[in-house]
Amino acid sequence: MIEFEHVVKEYNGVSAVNDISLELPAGKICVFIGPSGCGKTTSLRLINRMIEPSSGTIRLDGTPVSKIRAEELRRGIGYVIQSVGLLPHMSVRENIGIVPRLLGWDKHKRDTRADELLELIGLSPGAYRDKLPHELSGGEAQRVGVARALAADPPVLLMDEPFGAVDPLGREVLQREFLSLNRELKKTVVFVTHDLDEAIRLGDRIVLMRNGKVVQDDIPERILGAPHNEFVREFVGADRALKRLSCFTVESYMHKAVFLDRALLQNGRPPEDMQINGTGMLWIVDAGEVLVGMCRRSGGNWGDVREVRAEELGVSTVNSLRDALSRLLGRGMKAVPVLSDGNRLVGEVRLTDIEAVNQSDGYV
Amino acid sequence: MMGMSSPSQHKLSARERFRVRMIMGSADVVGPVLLVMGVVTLLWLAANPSQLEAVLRMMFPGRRGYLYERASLMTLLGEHLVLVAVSGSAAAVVGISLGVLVTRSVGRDFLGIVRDLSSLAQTFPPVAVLALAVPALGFGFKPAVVALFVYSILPVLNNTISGLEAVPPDIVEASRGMGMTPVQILFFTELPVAARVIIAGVRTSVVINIGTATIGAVVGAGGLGAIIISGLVRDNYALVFTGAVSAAVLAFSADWCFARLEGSFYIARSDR
Ligand SMILES: Nc1ncnc2c1ncn2[C@@H]1O[C@H](COP(=O)(O)OP(=O)(O)OP(=O)(O)O)[C@@H](O)[C@H]1O
Ligand SMILES: [Mg+2]
Repeated sequence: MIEFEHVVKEYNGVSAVNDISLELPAGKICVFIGPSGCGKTTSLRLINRMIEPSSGTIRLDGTPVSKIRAEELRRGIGYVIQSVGLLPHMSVRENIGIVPRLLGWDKHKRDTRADELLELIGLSPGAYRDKLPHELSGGEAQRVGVARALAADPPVLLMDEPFGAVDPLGREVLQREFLSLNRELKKTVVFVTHDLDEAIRLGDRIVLMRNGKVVQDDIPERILGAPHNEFVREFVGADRALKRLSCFTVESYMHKAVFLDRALLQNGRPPEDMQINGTGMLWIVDAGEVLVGMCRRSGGNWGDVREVRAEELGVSTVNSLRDALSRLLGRGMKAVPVLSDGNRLVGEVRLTDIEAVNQSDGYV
Repeated sequence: MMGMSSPSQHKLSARERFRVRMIMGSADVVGPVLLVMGVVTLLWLAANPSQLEAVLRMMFPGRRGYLYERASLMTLLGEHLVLVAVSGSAAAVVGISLGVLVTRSVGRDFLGIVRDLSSLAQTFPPVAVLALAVPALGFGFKPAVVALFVYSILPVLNNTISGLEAVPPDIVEASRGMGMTPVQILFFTELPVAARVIIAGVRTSVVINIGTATIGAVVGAGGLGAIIISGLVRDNYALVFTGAVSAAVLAFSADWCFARLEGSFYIARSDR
């Protein structure tokens, strides 16, 4: 069991963690979630003394962690970070063997353990033990990171956005694997994430944080069904809305776009009397209808024609509305071009459509 | 049987691979062969002064002396190597230690000063360092070693600092998180990852050192410089040639050895 007792961590007088008291039960997965900068990582790193609290106490099975020598404490706690941090000059097997080596295990025992863990995380020992980290895919590296944290069979596992850098599909696989793994191992897990779905899927408990404080510490069902306050409701809602957008493809919400062949520009400008739609966007294409530029009209005047790199600006028909939204917000535009094979312009998606999708179901 | 060729047909046998390498990267094979030939020839000639004299007579006909009377080429080579080995290894030890020290949290305050001082040391011509060392240490071996030592630190120090600073912070973080002590982090994580860059620094330092060591003769430290200077004074190019070529062969072999050593370490990658 891990206990936080009035824990405060300040940086230059500003509190990153502000008077947290929590009890994290043994053998359960407890997920810290909240907006960026709310103090999740800070709370996690206080547990294995990567940083020291400004005040308050953290206890591990009743013993204040400050009473245990920091290195010794860390060898007894598995730690997984988003960037994995496999040592690049060591093989997978050596990486998994690091903590056992620090604990003085002999080589034979370390190697047997490494093979056992590779088996456990679903990587064949024969194929993987001698690989170097740069020869692994992102997902494989993450699995090895988890194996490394489990090597000395620590009772506690700290995981800071461990699957954050893996694509959504791979992430789901990793989550499933990790769940079934921990059903067996019964580690006390503290897990930090940005992703509400991940929190719900993995967490026995969810601790929702904001500005260094715990807003709600509850089982997933109650975080969703009985939010303590407006912040929790909004946090859950906004995330839901984005998630929903992932379900719709660009193709089904695409409109005709207004475009102009580059050859028809007059002195580098579109013709004054050119008709456009409400988004104020005009796309410039070449003879093969490949997107090459854009031009905005505001207040009845044309802006400059800007050259663009199609693949940086546009989305493809198979992208989701969520992708389209992030392009829109990133560029501050009212519409994004939709491209098919070879960056040919086939239409556009508008901000108004995306807003309509969310409002139609009472979200946002 | 069209299109049924087995995959093994496309694999190159060891012999074919060797031939491909001969064509694609001939430097891989030609370099070492030339080098070994050069070293063997040099040693053989140094061990057989009469042969050396014969060769030089052929190349520079009509001179009076072809050999340095005061010491054999073998002795000079030996002296040169000792000069380089002593000053170079001291510089490597001090350069690496200093580099490690100023990248620790306790020594970080000195990082700037150490960098500035050692670049300053490099702008001093080696002869000037010698001139300063002589009044303090007298003539001979000692001032030459000190001058070479001072001169050889910078490349090692510089590379040690940049190598260690380039170690990705997340793997240091992971190492700390696994319970390594600061010393273990240094030896298990930082130095191995930075090793290639550090060895490259030692390589530069030693190669420069071999050339610069010829100046040691000015203060009577011996080495290949003695024969070069004596040749210059007497207008005897056979002597200058002997000294210069010997130093060059030494420098090339040292460079090649360190390049091999460098190659045996992990390549730091920027992508992961
Ligand atoms: N070493 C530090 N020095 C100063 N301020 C820091 C330091 N580490 C964290 N902070 C501040 O403390 C606050 C909490 O940081 P923390 O890393 O715990 O956030 P987080 O919840 O993990 O965010 P994210 O989801 O973006 O990872 C932030 O405002 C951050 O700027
Ligand atoms: Mg964080």
